[in-house]
Amino acid sequence: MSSRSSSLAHRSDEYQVGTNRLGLWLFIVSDSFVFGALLITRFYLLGDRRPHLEQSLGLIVTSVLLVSSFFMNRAETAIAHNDRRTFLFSTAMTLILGVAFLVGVIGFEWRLAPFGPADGAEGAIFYMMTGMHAFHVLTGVLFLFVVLRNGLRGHYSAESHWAVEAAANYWHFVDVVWIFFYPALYLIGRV
Amino acid sequence: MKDHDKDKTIAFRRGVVVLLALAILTAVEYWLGISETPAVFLWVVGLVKAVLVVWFFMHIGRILETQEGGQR
Repeated sequence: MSSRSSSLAHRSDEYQVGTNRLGLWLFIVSDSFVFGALLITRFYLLGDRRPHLEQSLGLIVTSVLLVSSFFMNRAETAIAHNDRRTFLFSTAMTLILGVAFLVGVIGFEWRLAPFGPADGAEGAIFYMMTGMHAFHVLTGVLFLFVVLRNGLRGHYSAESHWAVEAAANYWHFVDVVWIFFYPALYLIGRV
Repeated sequence: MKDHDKDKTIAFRRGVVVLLALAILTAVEYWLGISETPAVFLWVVGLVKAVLVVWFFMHIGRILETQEGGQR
């Protein structure tokens, strides 16, 4: 009887995780419409022009975000195999790289851009796209901070780590958005 | 236990391979951008990068694996 109830509880947990996954993906799809609209607005208003931005800085922040996604994937894989040390290290690395991305975009790119948010379509598009994306990076960083804190308290295991999976998927989603924003802002069109 | 470690090693290696692919594609994308190549090529590279992240890092296939009643 006890083994039967334990099996039922296990199946119930799996069902719960499956439902959570579906919910998270629905959120991701709905959120992607916001970014899709921004991308369309960029091409509608600027067409074949692009803002004058620091190319090297764009490449650096893009690389930082891609490496952060690698560490996030490593963190999730590690906790799924009960490797707590790698999980904690990789989560901390992702968090640090996320902060580095924010410093690169908001601390440097915003300051170096030769226009302000009110300087025509170029400024409005650039600050809206990078601002909305940076806000998502910031919420991802906060989410990672919570996961890291709980991880340090020993909250996750190979059997139960939904929060880590959710944080990882959210983080990768933010990375996917930047994969499309980077060429749209820095590479496509003429200055 | 050994199978468990082997799985972990394979998953870690897969992550490194995907990162390398993303790095190469980003370098290609940058080169295409500064060479003022038609935008369609940049979109193709971006799409391939996005598919790599969604498939290997976000594990989109996991939603399909979860069937009704909690069975995987």
